[in-house]
Amino acid sequence: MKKAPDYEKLKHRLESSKFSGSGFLGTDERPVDEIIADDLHQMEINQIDKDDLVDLLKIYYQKIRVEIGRRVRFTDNIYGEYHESMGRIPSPFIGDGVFEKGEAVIVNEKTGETFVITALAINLIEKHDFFQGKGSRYRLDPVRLFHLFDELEE
Amino acid sequence: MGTILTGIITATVFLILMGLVLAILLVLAEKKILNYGTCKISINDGNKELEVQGGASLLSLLAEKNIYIPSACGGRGSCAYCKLVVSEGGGQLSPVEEPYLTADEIKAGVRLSCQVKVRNDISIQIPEALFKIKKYRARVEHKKVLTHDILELRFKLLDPQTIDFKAGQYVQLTSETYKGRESVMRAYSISSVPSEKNYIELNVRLVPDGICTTWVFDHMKEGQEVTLSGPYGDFMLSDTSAPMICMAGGSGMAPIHSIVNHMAEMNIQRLCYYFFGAQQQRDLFYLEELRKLERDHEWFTFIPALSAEPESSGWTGFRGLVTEALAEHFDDLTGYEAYLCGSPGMVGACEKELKKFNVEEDKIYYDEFA
Amino acid sequence: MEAYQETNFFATLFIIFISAGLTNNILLARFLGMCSCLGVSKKVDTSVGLGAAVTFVTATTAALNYLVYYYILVPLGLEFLKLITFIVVIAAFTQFIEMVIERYSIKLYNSLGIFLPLITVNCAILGISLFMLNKPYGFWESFAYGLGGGFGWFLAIALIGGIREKINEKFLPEGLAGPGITLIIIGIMSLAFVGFSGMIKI
Repeated sequence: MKKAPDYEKLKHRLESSKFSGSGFLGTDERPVDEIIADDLHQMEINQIDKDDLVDLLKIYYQKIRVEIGRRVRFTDNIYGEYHESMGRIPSPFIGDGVFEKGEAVIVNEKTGETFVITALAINLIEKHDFFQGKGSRYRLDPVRLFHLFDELEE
Repeated sequence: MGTILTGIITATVFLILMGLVLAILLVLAEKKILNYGTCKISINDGNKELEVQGGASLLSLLAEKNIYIPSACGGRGSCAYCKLVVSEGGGQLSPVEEPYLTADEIKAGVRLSCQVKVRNDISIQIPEALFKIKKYRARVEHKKVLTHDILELRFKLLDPQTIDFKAGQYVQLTSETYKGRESVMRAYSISSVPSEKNYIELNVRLVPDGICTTWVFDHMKEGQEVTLSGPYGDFMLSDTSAPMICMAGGSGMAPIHSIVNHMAEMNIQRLCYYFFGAQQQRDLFYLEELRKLERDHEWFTFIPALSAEPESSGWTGFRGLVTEALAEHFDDLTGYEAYLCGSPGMVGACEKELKKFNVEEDKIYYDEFA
Repeated sequence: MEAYQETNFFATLFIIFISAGLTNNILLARFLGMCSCLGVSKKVDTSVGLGAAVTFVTATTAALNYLVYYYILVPLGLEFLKLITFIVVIAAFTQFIEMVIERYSIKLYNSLGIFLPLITVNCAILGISLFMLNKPYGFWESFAYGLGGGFGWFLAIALIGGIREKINEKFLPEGLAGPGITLIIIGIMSLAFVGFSGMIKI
């Protein structure tokens, strides 16, 4: 099936590029709109509000970022750490602008889950409902994220 | 039988001829229609004039004439490094450019040079410093391990053989392709001193999944030739004699290292406090060198701050974040200049803290690429 | 007498245009140009852009192919090559047009030009050129037929785009999102267009 030229270009930009070595799709082979639709569907089922999720992501990203690398303990099992990186990365969606590269990593020691939160990833969710493809290091699965914040905000 | 054969032959001949005619027509059309002829690029109100073959982007045409505008994305219109002022003949602002430009910039005629196609004579404004940017071939002299994730790279410049830069400026290193990764350009501050003109040194920190840093760590070999361009940036020592606060973290060491060594060499005796942030002792480097500098020069003080050093270790220096180290040493910094280098997160945190201590906003300097 | 013929001539062209666009809608009645329609009809503005490009190319290539067929292929006795000839002519023509609008109107190029490579292989365009030969048309009638056919396709994809924009695909059963629901929409719409068929005989 033919796709709009813009869409083809977007898909190309989401793959491994000069900016993101691993790309945004991970090992996910589904088309981008399907990835987005599926995540929205999962959120619908689990009654997760995207805006709440984005707000929490921003709050925790800042909490971790201001500590410039020092470990932040949230609970007995969950901590966050900011991994610095120089430079900026442009969004694969043309027109979004550029974002700083640092990563706020949240680790749940009990479950072994890690969440890599970046300024770009938050923008992708907020503006494009794109949580990134499965298998990507930067994917923020909405349902897992929801449970994480549930535990953190208790 | 004969008619069938003639039929096949006419058909074949016709198809071949048709293909040929259409192909020739298209080639001719392309030559005729897409030929913009020779266009003139007038730089800085006619200070410099270039004659180029129109039809390509401003960025690439300037590069053809050895004027290198900084660019990271290679003309895709997504990094917005290649901004410059087009005062005349730039044509319409494209939808790709718009989101990267502020209203003031649009008014001033700022464009992304990779998105401006030269179709006619055009006049542009370029900062003089950009004319000094050159492309270098260089040989890797050594790859020295500084910490578990930071390397020191030393390059001997081959062609051209010397570089003129100011302490604090940066170069762009071009990585080679490996394992399906594209060739990219990434910026690194120079850590060596400007007086050493045949060599430059960089500090490169490994970034998880980083395209260029992975290449540097795993694929670049001592003795191999690489491509660099520079010097870029306006992060450099000011002409004043105001006392200085320098703050850096990780590979942000490089430009400050260059600046303080340059000051020592040139005998610039400005009061200078250098706060360097790291997690543990294993993340510190150039420690002995900087301690020696501190001993030899009255004006220089080096304060490393460790944020995650185990309690039990023998570390007698400061424990905590760089910002906390600053607060411990000072409560008023009126009249100081600040030089910051590190990730945007670190620079942001330091800037906030410095403003609290009355450092004026326009006296806080940091690199644009960070 | 002459004036009468004149109006008659334009009336004929108009009838051909309307019938090609509405009563024999190429997308909704003949289901041609389906794959670009499914892929691109997600938003009204891209639909309109593609539709406009298709209309333009259909009309001009219909006229062009008319000349090629009656003045080159028929005299040479090579009518059986019309399929491949038309494809090549359409492809070359879109390339040419892309160059022209890139040179002379960057604005038009930004909105229309990106679709041109995509429609080179749009079967609706080839379809119009081939159907036109089944009818006893002269040059201008062929042009009107091409214009009408293209306009019909434009109308259809713009309508589908509008409907798809309003649909929140999130609420659709899994697997029906995207092409699935689009085909259903097209099916329902074509039922409506079937009502027109036979109203005008051309």
